[in-house]
Amino acid sequence: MELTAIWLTLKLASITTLILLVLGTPLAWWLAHSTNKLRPAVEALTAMPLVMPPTVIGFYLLLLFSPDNPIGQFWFQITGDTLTFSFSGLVVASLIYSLPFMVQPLMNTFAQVGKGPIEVAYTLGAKPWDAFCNVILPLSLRGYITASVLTFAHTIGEFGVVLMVGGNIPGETRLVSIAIYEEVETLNYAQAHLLSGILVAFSFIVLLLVYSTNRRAAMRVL
Amino acid sequence: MLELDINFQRNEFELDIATTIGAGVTAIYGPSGSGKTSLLKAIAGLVPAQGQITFMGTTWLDTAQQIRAYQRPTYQRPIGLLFQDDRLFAHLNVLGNLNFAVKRAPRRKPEGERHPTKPISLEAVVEIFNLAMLLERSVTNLSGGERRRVAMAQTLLTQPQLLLLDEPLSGLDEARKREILPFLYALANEFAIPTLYVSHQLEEVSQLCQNMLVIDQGALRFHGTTHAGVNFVEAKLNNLMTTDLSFLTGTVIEKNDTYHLTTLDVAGQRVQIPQSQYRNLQTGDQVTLNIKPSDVALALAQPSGISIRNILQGVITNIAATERFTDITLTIGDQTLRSRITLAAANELKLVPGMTLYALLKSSGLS
Repeated sequence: MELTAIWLTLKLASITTLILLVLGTPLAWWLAHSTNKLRPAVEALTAMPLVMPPTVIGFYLLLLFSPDNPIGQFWFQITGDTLTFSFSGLVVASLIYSLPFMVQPLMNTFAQVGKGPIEVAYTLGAKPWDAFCNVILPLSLRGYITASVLTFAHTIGEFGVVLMVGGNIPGETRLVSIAIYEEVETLNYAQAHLLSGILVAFSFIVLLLVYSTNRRAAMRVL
Repeated sequence: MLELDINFQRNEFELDIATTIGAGVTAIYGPSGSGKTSLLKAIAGLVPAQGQITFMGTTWLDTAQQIRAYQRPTYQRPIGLLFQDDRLFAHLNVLGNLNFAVKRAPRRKPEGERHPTKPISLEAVVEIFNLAMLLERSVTNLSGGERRRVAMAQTLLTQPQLLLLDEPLSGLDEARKREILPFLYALANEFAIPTLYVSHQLEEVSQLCQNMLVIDQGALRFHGTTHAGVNFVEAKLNNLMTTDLSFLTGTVIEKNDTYHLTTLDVAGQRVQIPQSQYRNLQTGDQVTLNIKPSDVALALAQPSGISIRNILQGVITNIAATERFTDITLTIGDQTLRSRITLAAANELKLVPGMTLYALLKSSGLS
């Protein structure tokens, strides 16, 4: 069994989800409430990973991550490691690839909750952080669950981007989806069956969970 | 106390108001879309505005600053804002909603001289707004009237120094309004907190407010006593009249506890009204009566031997005939009273402007 690959995949999905919860919240809030003229452009950019072929994202990221590129170079200088063919690179790639799956459900939730409750909280003397934690967060809980589950599941299902950026290094970048690809290439169908079966079951359980808790938010994204 | 000089723009709409608002209950009256709610939100700091707001000597807004415009954040302004739409927190029960305000109240420093009055306690508001039975209930299954009461209690628990009430009776049917009005009266008057009361109903304004601002199309048209304001709206802004009621203002001169009647002096003439259920009037208090034109009968001579106790002498200033009725406008001192009678009655009495008449008001119909 490819336990290492399964563990690595779960680790990548968890880290991606946690980071996106932090980054996605302010972005989704801004998209839900801003009247800025740039809002539609930012919303379109956020949704791009939904429609672009993963190989295209992977290709551009590979170029950006390359030590010849200022971004890749900067990363190499501060960490001593490259972003290409490394776990860190996979995390950064996943953050971009899974961004809409975090931002869109949160944005819908924030829009649905509206500005009313936070205005009341302010008039009752709550500071912004207090108002967010004690009013917006509990009122948006279902949206957060939906967004987290979708982000986690979508990161697990990545293939194109991670193959382009990470390759296939056991324990570092060899995820379940890549392991399946390789098992098939080497005609090892039994292993491929097992891993694929696990992913199929996992996906079904996740979607069942989302649809049974919050049907509407999930519909918007999928 | 509250000095305003603000300008607020959004899309095509512009609000431009400069005035100073004193203690007591001040109505902000105007038609829908005249900028009343925007003004309230600007005072609360919930919408960006240009200009200056000063409350009890403390600057809340000053965009004329050289370096950087100053805007005091909403959560630092000691206001109690009652929103038009009920906005209770759906994730908390009634007690949770009240405690949300209680917990945060001490963080706000009072403005000006330290408030000499005792803080308003949770027990007190639970009692006043009759909430004891509701505390553990979820706010999602409260009735409209119950929600308003919880919201009013929550507003008071922030220990506000300025109450901002945004159409607190809108969206309620007549029965609910009658249920809520005494509580609203308590909210606006019992705690002696300066209050701004946004409304587009002259009946509410005349009953609850001592002073009024009239706003139309983003501009201040009038600021003075409610009595003068109602006359101003009747005379100058007839298109803003939202009601065909007449408003008579009088001063309490006598109370009769045996018959539960209160006697008022209205422009030098006496009017008797039943004692109010929720307002304990004292001699010298000003009262505004809302009078339906159909409740006013007319007589050419002073009648005697009838049950009607209120007979006011007035002069006809206007006669307007519709298909079925005739609306007669009378001037009584500096006040206006309207009467609606049938065409037949109007023809029989041969009414003409300038005639002196007696208007008959039933005491039991006055409030």
